[in-house]
Amino acid sequence: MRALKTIALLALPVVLLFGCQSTPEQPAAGKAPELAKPKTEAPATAKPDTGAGAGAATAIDASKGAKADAGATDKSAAPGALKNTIYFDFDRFDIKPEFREAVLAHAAFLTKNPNATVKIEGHCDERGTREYNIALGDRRATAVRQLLKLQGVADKQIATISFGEERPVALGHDEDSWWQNRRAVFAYR
Amino acid sequence: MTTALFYRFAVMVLMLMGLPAAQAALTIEITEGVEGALPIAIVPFASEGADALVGGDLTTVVAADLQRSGRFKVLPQTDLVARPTEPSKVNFQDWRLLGQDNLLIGSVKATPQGYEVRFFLFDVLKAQQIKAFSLPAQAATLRVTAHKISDMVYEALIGEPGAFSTRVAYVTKPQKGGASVHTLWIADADGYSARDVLNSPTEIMSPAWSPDGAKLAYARFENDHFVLYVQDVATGTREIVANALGHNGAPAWSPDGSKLALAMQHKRHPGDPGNFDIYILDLRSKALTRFTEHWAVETHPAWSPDGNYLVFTSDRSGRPQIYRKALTGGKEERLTFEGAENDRASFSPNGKMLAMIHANSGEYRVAVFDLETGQLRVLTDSSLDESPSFAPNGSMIIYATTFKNAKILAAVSVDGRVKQRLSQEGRVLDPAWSPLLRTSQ
Amino acid sequence: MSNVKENVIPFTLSVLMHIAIGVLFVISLEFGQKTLSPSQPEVNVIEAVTVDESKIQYEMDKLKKAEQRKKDEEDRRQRDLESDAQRAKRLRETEEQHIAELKKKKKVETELAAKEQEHIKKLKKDSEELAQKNKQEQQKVDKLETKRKMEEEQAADRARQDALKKKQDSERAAKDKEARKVVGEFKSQITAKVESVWIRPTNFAPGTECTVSVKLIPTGDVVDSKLSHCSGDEVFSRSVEAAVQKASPLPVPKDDPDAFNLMREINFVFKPQ
Repeated sequence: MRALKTIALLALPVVLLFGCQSTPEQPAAGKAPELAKPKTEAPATAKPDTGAGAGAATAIDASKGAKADAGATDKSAAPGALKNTIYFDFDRFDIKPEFREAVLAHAAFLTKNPNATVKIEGHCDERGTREYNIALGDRRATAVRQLLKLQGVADKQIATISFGEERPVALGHDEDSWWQNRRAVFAYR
Repeated sequence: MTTALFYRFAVMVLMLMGLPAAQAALTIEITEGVEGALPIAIVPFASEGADALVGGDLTTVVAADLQRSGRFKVLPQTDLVARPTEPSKVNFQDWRLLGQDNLLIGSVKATPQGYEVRFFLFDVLKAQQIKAFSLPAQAATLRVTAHKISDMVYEALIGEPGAFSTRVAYVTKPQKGGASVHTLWIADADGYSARDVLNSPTEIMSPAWSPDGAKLAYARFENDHFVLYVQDVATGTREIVANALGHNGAPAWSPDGSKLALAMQHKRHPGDPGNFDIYILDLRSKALTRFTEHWAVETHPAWSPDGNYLVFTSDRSGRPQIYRKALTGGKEERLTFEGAENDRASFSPNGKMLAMIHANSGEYRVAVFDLETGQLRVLTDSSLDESPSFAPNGSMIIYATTFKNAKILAAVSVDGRVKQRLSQEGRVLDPAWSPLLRTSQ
Repeated sequence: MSNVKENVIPFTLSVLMHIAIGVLFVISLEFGQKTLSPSQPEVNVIEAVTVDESKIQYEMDKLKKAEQRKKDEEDRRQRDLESDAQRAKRLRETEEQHIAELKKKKKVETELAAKEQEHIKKLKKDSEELAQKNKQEQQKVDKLETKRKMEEEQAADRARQDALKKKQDSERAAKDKEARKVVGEFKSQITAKVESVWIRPTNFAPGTECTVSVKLIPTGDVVDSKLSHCSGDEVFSRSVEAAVQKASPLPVPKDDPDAFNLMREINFVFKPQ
């Protein structure tokens, strides 16, 4: 068991190196392989991120996301492969229970690799003003930061950046696209 | 003998009581009217010269201007019963029968310097000339001339200055398949004659005109955050005026042009979560004063025309709502209580109303809020409206909206009756209406 | 006569001319007469005839007999004439007698007639006097009657006039009331119509007030519109004048001149709140 964990942890950087990203200025290009997966896997059956009844739905979401990730990143054979994107409810920046684990996974990695730094991007859907969404995105990124810090990650390892509604991954004008844009992204250099 | 007497008596009696009060006039008080558009007929100006279309082109722009303002109902050209081009040819009865209150006619004459445009504005009901004017024009700036005419007609008939010679600044984002560049544009108030004043690989946000119309303040994304710039419109030179570690945005000029209110996220160090609050920056001394200090998000400040108040957005109640606070300090008073969200308030030029985005049942719409009565009135029926900006004469509001998967410019008259789309496609954001410009720029 | 004096010469000429014409006329007549009796054209027809002696003697005898006969006839005629004359004389005498008798009779009759005339006269006089008396009586009665009638009529008149006056008063009052009620109804119609066409300016100072005075004709058309007491600016004043024009023709009562008379002139006071 222990050995498996060690292998997984060692494999992590490799996996991450491959899935790596670009500067925030060209998010789409760099993130394409990673981000494309949730998008293609996310069919019309994606559940809208409403406050009520989100529990069961998001569980399925999480599993979907996980499946997708597992399928693409064949670099890692580890079951708990890191998810780089977590999603939020409309107008909310609290981290939902189903994504807690994903964040903790990153926290674990970062604590184990004190020289590693991560940039947390906060994003929003198009509703609301651009300026307000900068603040909301910032709050989402900050919420992730807080959780990471709680897990022992050092402040200087975490940078946050808010893109507000400026860098959507889905361009539709309905919940099918909106939920995908309400996200925080772990961007490792 | 008796009968004669009788008749005489009767006549006398009748005379005494038969006089009705026909000489006193009846008084009727009229207290209400209708908020209506003034019916006006515009006859294509005569073209005296080589270009046979120039007169018609001119009046097409004037007609579009007046119609767009919502204050006029321009008679369609197909309904014109006559096409007089000089006062002696005008038969007022024609226009009266068509239900027109006013008539605009004119001519464009070619001169060695370009053109000479003459127009005559009539009150059809009184059969009187209201205004006659003559002005020089150039082929290249014919639209400018048309807008000047629209301004003069508007002012003569409405009693307020027209806003047709004003400008609009707005931002476009890269489109799929197009160049990956963000651009800040300045166009005529009707959306025509756009020119780019900044091209950027990264986002541009919240342009705001200085009160003299000479400068634009805006936020631009660089080095992982937005910084605030002030750029000279004529020369293009620019400088950074706010560069806090966190966010710098939502600039609003004070009425005297000496200060900027802005939304700033002050971070003491990169790890500091920082808070979004309203600050005031003195552009001369560069002194920065904190205006709000609240754990909630405060953004989108707007300066009252009398310089005494700022309104701003705060989500301290859970969702964004509009608050007001005096420059001298004091209570931060909540103004909006209707709907799920109210954001991005801006003052009307007379300081009596706010334009804002009002969210209710998932729809984001342009609304006006009466500061005296607290009444909110939704003006549009679209669903993803953004950044409403008042015309400098208070008659219309320009805004960005989503239409058929594009983000376009639109305008709505302040009473909500006339709506117009000013652009057709692309991704147009953050329109800002210039103040009344005294000189052509 | 003055005419003659003024126009002596023409008059004289006229008379002279008339005389001349008259003379000519007479002369012409004479001439005419003279010429009118033309001499008979003598037709001398000469026929040769042979003379016979026996025939002459026969003729002469015939002539003698004829003469004798004539003489006898003459005598006979003389004798007839005499007897005629005598008869006539006898007739005349009888007639004279007759006439004398008639005269006598007439005289008697005349006397009788005269007597009768007198009698009749007397009777007439009597009856006249009686009639006169009656007449006077009658007159007295008539007078009284007339007086009474007059008084009666006057009373009736007065009563009638009072009643008429009352009736007219109440009719007039009712008409007035009705007229005012009608005016009231139309007043609100007019107000509504003007308010529906007044495009109210948006930027007027509070308390702005403008009055437009109009005159109407029975069709409701505004024929005379005048702006008075306007505290608004030019745009405001133009808008109220336009409103009145556009509201024309105003709804007015047709076939009700009493009501219409109360609304011939209207002062519209535009006082936006």
